Amino acid sequence: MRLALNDSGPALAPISPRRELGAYEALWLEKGATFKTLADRFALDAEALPSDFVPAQLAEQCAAEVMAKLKKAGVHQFGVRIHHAGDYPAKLRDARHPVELLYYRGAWEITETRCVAVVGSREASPDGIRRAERLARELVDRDFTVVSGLAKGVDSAAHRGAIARGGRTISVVGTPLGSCYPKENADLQEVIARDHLLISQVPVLRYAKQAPQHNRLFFPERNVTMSALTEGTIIVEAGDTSGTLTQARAALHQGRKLFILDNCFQRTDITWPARFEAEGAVRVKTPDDIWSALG
Amino acid sequence: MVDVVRLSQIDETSRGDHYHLTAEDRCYYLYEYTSHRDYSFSATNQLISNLKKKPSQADQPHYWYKGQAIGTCGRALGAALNPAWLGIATLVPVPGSKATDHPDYDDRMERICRLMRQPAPDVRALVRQAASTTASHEAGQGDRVTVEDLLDLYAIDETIAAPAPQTIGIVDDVLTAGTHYRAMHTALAARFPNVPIIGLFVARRVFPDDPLAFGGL
Repeated sequence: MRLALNDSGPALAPISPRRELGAYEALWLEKGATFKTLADRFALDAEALPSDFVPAQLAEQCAAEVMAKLKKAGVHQFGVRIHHAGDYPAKLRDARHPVELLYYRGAWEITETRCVAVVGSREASPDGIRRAERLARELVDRDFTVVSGLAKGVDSAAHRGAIARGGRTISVVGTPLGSCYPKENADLQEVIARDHLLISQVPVLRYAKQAPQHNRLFFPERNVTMSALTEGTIIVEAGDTSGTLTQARAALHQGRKLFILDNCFQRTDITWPARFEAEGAVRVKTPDDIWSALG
Repeated sequence: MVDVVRLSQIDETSRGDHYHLTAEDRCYYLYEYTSHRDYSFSATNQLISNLKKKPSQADQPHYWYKGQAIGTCGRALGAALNPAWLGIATLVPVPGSKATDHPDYDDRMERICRLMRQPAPDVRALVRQAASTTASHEAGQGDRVTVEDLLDLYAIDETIAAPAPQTIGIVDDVLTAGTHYRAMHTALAARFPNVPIIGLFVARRVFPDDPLAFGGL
């Protein structure tokens, strides 16, 4: 039993967003911290908050550093969602290593709408781009929110398709708020943050302190969150080593629907479509295969 | 505590959104209510919208949802509170905008307080409002009631003032600028000096383009 629960104060283990934000960042600065090690730690105590593991002074210091860094990066308004606090989406707990805290800009409530992810290769073919845009339009027409990363290729096409159709889109990024990858999507990221919803689970201080090659590891992890936020994932196209396949595995693990466009099955240079179909993915020959499965 | 939403505390990251609050105020909330958006925008907006249904609409079918919302809020707040505190606290609901003789007089906050535990906690409408005002959520920008306006209207109900409370929780549905909280706090602190006072809210108000003004610090 932690001290907070023994507190004679009015609230049971109350949450201060600033303290939790700082404590979460401090946990990420510990040597060897990963989504898995953090999730394992919180799994041992389902009621723990980040501040239960971090001295108050360190949490405060980290919070101040995050504020300063984000402000310097031009992020003047943002929010956080914290496990156990109001408005934290329960569906995130379906992830294998569920995140305890997320940063966001924009309208958080979009997460409460029906969401479907559209993902695929960064080096997408012209057909892949066209398919991603069309799917985004059709999702918007059916009042679904489009969810994607902010990578080149399929991801960007999905966001642009949704925005052009007047729909809602959520971008889950593999960089902290205030950073953008690739740089060429900075304008798109800003539009999404202002008019839609931009989500990052990437710790600001750890990202700033470690080498770029280590920061790459944040990208597949955002795919897991993207899947958890949605009813299903549609893979437009992807190679055998694509990060998109992380999302495919996550979707099946989380009990979400996984749709793979038929053109992926027709390629002879990849093997994953048949493998995932055997595990329950839906082979999409016409868009109706998606709509009927989503119900 | 599975599925129990914990109370969040107004801290440096959110105090600026509620400008009548000071650094000494201890205020807690469960959810965020997005201003300028309708009930369909989010589950919290729907909850608050149902909670605010007018008593003069009681004969309409949709009024049923008000009772549901009162139950939901009472249970959620009760589950997030320390039972030891709730056992000794006096909960003081913020009076609705309409006086008791008005057709839209609303005792929703009092009902929420009574549902916070079984048997019901000590709930006392210690602050009475002498005349009706326009509800904050219905008032235009320049017409909103001020702390001073409210202090003129507020009076302690001496018939229920004894025994003196040991600790007070001021309870309201939405924390907006903090006007009502500030006036309630002032009135209660004057009558019961040295009694600790906190604020309990179902939701705090945020603006759609201004989630938490973290960067504004």
